Amino acid sequence: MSPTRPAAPSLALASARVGARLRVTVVDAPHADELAREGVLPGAILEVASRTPLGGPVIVTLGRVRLALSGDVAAAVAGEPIA
Amino acid sequence: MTAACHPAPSAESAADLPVVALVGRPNVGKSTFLARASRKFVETANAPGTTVTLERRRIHARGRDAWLVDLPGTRSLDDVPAGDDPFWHLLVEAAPDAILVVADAGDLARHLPLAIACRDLGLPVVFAANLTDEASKRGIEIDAGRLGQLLNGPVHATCGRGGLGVDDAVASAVALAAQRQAVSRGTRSPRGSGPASIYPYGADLELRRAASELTEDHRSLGAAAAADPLWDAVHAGVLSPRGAATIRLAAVLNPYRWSAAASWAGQSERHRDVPEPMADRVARWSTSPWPGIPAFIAVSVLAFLSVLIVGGVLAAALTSVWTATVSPALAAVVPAVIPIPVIANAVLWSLDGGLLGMLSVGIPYVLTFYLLLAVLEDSGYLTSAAVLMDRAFGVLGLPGRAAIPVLAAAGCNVPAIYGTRVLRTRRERLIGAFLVTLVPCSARSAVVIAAVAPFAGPLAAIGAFGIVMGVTVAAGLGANALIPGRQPALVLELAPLRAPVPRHVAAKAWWRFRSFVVQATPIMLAGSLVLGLVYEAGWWQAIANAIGPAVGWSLGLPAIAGVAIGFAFLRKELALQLLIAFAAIELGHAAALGELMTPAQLFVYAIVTSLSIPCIATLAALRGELGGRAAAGIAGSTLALALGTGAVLARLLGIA
Repeated sequence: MSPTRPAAPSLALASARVGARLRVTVVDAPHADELAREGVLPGAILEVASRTPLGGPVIVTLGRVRLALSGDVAAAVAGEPIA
Repeated sequence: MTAACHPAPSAESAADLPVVALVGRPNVGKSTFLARASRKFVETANAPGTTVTLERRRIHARGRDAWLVDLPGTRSLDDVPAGDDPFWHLLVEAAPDAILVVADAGDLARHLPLAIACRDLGLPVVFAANLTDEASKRGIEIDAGRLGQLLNGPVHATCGRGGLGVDDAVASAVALAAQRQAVSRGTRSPRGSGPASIYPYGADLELRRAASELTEDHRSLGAAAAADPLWDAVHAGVLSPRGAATIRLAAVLNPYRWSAAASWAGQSERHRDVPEPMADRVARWSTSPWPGIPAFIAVSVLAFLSVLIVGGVLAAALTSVWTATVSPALAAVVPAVIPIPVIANAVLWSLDGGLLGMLSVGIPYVLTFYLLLAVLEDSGYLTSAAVLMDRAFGVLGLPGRAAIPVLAAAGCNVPAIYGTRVLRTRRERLIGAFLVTLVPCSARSAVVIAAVAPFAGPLAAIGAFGIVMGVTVAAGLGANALIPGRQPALVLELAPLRAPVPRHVAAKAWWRFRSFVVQATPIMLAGSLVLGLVYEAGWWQAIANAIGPAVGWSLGLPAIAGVAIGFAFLRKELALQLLIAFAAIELGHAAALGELMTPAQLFVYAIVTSLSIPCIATLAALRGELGGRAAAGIAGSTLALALGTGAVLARLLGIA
C-alpha cells in the first residue's frame, strides 16, 4: 500500500462557528441546484457571518453578498476550513 | 428616448418592431431601466400562483422604435422566478431580437453566468453593469472595455437611479435588435455566428448532439417531442438549435459559466480600499440578534401603529365629510328617483353604506399600509425581517417574510391580504391569507373591547384576545399540516439596504391600491345591496326565527345575535350597532347590550364575531388574490373555527 496524504478535514457549514471560512467541497442534493444559482458551488469560499435566533437561518458571506440559508440547506454544504 | 407619446402605430408596423428583452437577477434595477427608457414607472403583478404578466413598452431610442420587454428577475434561465414556468419559457414568449442583461457592477462574478447563458442563446447581448454608484462606494470600478472583449459584446457602465448610461445601453440593444431582425427576417432558423465557446470539447460535443436533435423533424421523434417547447422555439425561429441546446444542457454548462464568470470578473474589476459603507453595516446589524430583533420589533410596532393611527384619523375625517355632504344628498336623491321605499333604502345601503365602507377602509388603511410596505420593500429591509422571523414562522409553514402582513393585519385585514404577495408559493399565500383573516383587525378588536370590557371586565377582554390568538396559532399549525406540500428551504440573497426612491414607492403603492379599488368596489356595492334588502324588507326577522334554535343550542346566544354576526359580514363594526338596532325593534324600546345578553354571552359573541367569516372587503381581496374557491374555503374554515370555539366556550361558561 502506498502512503497517502491525509485528506483535508471537512467542516459542515451547519456546525461552523461565526467567523469561520471554508472552501466548499460538497453540496448535497436536493439543494445543489438552488445553491448553484446563488454561486455556492464547489470551490466557492464562504464565511459564516452570523446566526439567527431559535436555530434560524445561518447568514454567510459569498464574495460581496450575504446569503441566508436555512438549517437544512446549510446541512447540505461542507468544505475545507481556511485560516 | 421617449415613451409611447408618439402617434399610435398601425398594428402591422408595431408587430414588426424589434424586441429587446430586459434580463437580470432580482433587485438589480431592471424596472428602473424600463421606467427610464419609457419615461413611466411600472409595477408588475407577478405573484406566486398568478399568471406572469410581461410588461411590454414601446420606446423610441436614437431614431429607432422598438419594444422593450421587462421579464421577472431570475438567477438562471431554468430558474422559476414567478408563476409556474421556467424563466426561459417567458423569454421565448417574448421572442426577443436582442437581450439587454442588467447586472450588478459590484458583484460581477455572480451576475455574469446569466449573461453568458444569454449569450449562449445566439442572440445579440448588451451588458449593462448597473448600480455603479453602489459599486464605487465599495471601492469597485469596472473596466468596460476589457469586459466587452471577454463577453464579445457591448458593455455599458450604468446607474439606473441616476439615469447614467441607461439611454446608451438601451439604444445599443435596440440597434443590435434591429440589425438582427433585418438579417434574420424571412429565415426559418436564425443562426448567429456567436462568440467563441467557453466549454471543453466533451461539453461542446454534447451541445452539438442536442442541437442536432432539435433540428430533426417532429415525425421522426415521436409524440414526446411533439410537446417540446424548445423544439417549437427553434422551429419558430426564436432560438437557434445550439441556443436551445444550451438551455437543455444547463446543468452540464453551468459550472463552466461560473468558472468563466469568476475569471472574467477578476480581469475586469479594479479594486481600491474604502471603509465599509454605512448601508452595509446597517444591513449586517439588521439580521443580527442584536440589534436586529429590537429593530424588527420597532418596525413592526411602527407598521401596526401607522396603519392603526394614520388609518383611523383619515377614516374618521373622511367619514365625517361623507356623512355631512354625500349622505344627505344621497338620502334626498335616491328616494326621489326610486319610488318604492324598500328598494330605495336598500340602494341607499349600497351607495351610502357600501361606498362609505370603501372610502373608510380603502383610502385610510389600505393606502397607508401599501405605502409602508413599498418603503420596506424598496429599502431592502423586508428581506432582513424575513430572515430574522424565519424560524418562528416556520412552525406555521410560513417563511419569515410573512411577519409583516400578518402583523399589519391587526390594523386592517384587506391590505394584509394583498401584502401576502411577498410570499413565494401558492401554499404559503394560502396559509398566510388564512392567518391574516383570523387576526383581529382594528374593527374586530373594537367589537371585542366594547362587548366584553364594560360588562365582564378588562381581564376578560384580554382573555378574549388570548383565545383568538391561540385559535389563530392552532389554525396555522393545522393548515401547515393539512395543506399539501412543504415550505421550501430558504436560500435568500440579502438585498443591500438602500434609501427608498419616493417615486417608486408612490407608484408601487398606487398601482396596488388601484387593483384593490377595482376588485373590491363591485363586491362591496352588491353585498351592501343584498344586506340592505334583507334588513329593509324585514326578512332578517324570518332569518332570526329560522336560525334561533340552532344559535341558542350551539352558542347559547339569542337569535338576533346570530343575525348580527351574519350582517357583520358587511363591516365588522356593525356587529354591535346592528345588535342594538335589532334589539330595539325586537323589544320595542332601545336596549343596552347588557340588557340583551349576559357577560358570558357577550364574551362568546365577541369571540365568534372576531373569528367568523371575514368582512366583505377582505373576502373581495381574498377572491381577487387567490381565486373564488380559496376565498370560499378560507371563509368556511373561519366560520367553522368560530362556531367550534364558540360552542366549546358556551359549554365551559354554562350558557349552552
